[in-house]
Amino acid sequence: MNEHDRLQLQQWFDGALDDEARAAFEQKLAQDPELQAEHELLGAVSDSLRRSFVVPDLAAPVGPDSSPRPIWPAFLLGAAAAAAVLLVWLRPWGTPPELADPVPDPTLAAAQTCVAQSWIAMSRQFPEETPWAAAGCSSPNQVPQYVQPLVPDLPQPLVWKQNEGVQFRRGVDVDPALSLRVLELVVMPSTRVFVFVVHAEQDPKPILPTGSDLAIFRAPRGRLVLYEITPLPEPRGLACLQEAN
Amino acid sequence: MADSNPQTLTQDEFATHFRRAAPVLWCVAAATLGNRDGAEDAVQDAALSAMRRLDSFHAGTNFTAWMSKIVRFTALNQIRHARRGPQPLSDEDTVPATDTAPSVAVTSAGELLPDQSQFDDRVLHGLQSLSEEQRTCLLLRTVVDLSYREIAGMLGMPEGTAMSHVHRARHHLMERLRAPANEGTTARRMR
Repeated sequence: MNEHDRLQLQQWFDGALDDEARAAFEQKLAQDPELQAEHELLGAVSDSLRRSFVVPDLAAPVGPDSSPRPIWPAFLLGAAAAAAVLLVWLRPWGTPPELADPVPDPTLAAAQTCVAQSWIAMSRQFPEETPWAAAGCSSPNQVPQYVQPLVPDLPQPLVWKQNEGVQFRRGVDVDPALSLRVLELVVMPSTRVFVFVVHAEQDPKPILPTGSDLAIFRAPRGRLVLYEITPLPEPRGLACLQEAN
Repeated sequence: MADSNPQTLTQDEFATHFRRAAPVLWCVAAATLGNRDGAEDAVQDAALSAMRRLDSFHAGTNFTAWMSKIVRFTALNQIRHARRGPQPLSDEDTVPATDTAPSVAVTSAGELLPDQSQFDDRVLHGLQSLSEEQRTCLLLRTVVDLSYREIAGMLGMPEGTAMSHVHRARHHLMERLRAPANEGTTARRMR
């Protein structure tokens, strides 16, 4: 197979050959195993890229349901002096219930039990807007493996449901000397996501940026990393932009 | 403000344009970042940024080209912030170490092996080794099916250059996929 064949193959994929050239190329393709292999590989690469880069609908509403937005604004106000640490998991108590089952009714006491003081660990400062990748995960899919060891009762495997009510975003950190206590407990019923907001005695820097709500902790030993997540009960696309503006 | 200048966009007009351009902008962000995970955030942040300076857009010019520059800068800023921040745990910390690229999922005859995800990993791995321009052109051509003319107009380059970037990118990826699996560098998955 020569360079001309390779060029024609690319043009064929681009639909750039005229009728005559296309017919000639397809005839050659039918007779040339090497060209067929090249053709198949190029097709596989293109298909792979389309699979891997499925474009999200950025202008479409993304959210669990039309239920009223919970008390996030109150959290934001409280966050002025609080480190928001959260534990987010799906169906955290006992055997994972069937989807039709009612969501367990978590209590503040349950949250306080879950958030153990021993989880506090060494600090790490983040610059103002740190992508979640810098917070210790190279993928949101890695979140479960950080969260899983903390909560033995978590269903196996823990499934991180991105775009189903929450958006995993970026991390912040707190000082290991800070004492934490559970401040708020929020349930997102439609997604069965449980969020603990933990109060810190002093402001861990950086504070959550405006518009953000929550974070998720990890690591029983070593670093304590907080992950901010943004609930998405409302459209994430244009509506958000217009509102924010 | 935008509303006071008829030559610039109103917010409603911005919304209309943005809705249309969003897939392309997402691809630009993904190509700039080298992965798709932060792309949505980059587009959102860029949109917020653009809405604060709608008066810098001139009516009649290419909205997508204008926005894609903002998206690209936003994505580059994300990368810079990430580099200034603490180093993330590498995959080697959390995933069994491997000194090779994901194993071959294509036979020498170009036949796809059953494990599609392994093949996808190798393609993504190869994508990292392309230049940003090659990656952007390739994704715009393949994922959102833009014509070379559209890509060229958006990225401010000659049509032939856009085509050349795509062809070289494909060729490079195919070469990598044909190479033995252990010729890769340390695997660092994009996902």
